[in-house]
Amino acid sequence: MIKKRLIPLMLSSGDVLVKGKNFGQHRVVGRMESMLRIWSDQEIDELLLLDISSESESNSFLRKVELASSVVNFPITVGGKIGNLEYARELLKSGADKISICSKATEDLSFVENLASEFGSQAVVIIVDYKWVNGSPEIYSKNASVQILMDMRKYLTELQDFGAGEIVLQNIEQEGSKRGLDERIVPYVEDLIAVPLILSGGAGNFDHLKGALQHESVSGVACGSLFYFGDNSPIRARSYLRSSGIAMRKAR
Amino acid sequence: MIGVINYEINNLKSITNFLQEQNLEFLIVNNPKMLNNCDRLILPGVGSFGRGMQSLDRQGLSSEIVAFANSGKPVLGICLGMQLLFETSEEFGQSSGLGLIKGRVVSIATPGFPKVHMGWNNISTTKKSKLIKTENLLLDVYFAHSFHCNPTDRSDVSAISEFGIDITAAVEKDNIFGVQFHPEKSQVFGKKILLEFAGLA
Repeated sequence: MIKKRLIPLMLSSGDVLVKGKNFGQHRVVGRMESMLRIWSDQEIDELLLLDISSESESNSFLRKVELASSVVNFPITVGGKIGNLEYARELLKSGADKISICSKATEDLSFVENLASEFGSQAVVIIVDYKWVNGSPEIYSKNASVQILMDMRKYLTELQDFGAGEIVLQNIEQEGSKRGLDERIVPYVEDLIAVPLILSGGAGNFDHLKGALQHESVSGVACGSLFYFGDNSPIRARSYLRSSGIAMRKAR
Repeated sequence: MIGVINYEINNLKSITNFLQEQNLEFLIVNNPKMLNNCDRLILPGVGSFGRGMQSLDRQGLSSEIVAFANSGKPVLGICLGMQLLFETSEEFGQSSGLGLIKGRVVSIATPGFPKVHMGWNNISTTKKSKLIKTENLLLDVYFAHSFHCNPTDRSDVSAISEFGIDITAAVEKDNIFGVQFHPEKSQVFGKKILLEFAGLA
């Protein structure tokens, strides 16, 4: 039986890791290497590492991916500023297992297709940032600053037709809020999702994780605040979820 | 010496980091000559089938890997590397593989299940395996694939995993081994599998 995944989200900015709220108000939360060593010991299921550096520092991000891959022994998805196949290839060569794109997919679906045919769908993760506006989920890009006038359901269908291998739905208003993951989006999209679906944004306690993971169509949850602030560890989260009947992996 | 095949598009780091940590000697194989220095081969994962084969052909490695395998030395394909051991794949149109194991690589799509098998799943063995020891079967391994191998001869299957259908998780035929999951990303259990491979006589 396939297990549900807990995926810590790391935002890399220059030399440090940050955590934001609603895509802004970034706080420094530590350094990557020490954080990864801790999470490695706690056997997280996977890592989502996003480069949100303001200046174009792709070279230094490549070095970070290289470092991350040498420290951890679980899968790493990386993203941020991936605009062409060459850079995607460099990231994979540096040790990423999967690459993720967000804004670029809203601009150019053929790029999704090119990534999938080059690296295989299983390596292509699409992050969809959205907000609920008048009862419908509206897609945003460019760090939540630009609204994309496209129907969410149509967009998700197209992403999959073009070869997306996994979809991360990230609720902009929940992000960093610790108010809970947006379970409302699940029934809105689940009938058309044929790839693994990850929810992101808002996980503030273990019950939030449980609520999201109880949906059959949700494969995993990404979370930042939960593991950065307070004394919640992935190990404790996993054991709580397991005792609540959620299928979590056995690591040792 | 373990040869790690480089097909230019893939993540070699995970596997080479792992081999380094275990103090296992390896070399990254970019051309046929380098195979002479190897007593076993790993074909790592990531990438699409067609691109993987194109790269092996371009480096003149395809026929040499087949010759290497036919000489009886151990070969382990991981994820895409396992799929390349087969005759053909239907990923993005038909492509031919190395043909070391008879059968086809087909989509895993099943009604009601995602068409990408991604994440941690348990496996069960279907025959006695030199790499997969049954005492480790309680642990999960990491999968990331949307196609899987369908061997003509079912006795080549050594382990399966359930995901709507029985996914071929591992194959084993004499000196030819394939695992659909990523042992290099599967922590304790994965490490044991790779160490078994490194220790094969």
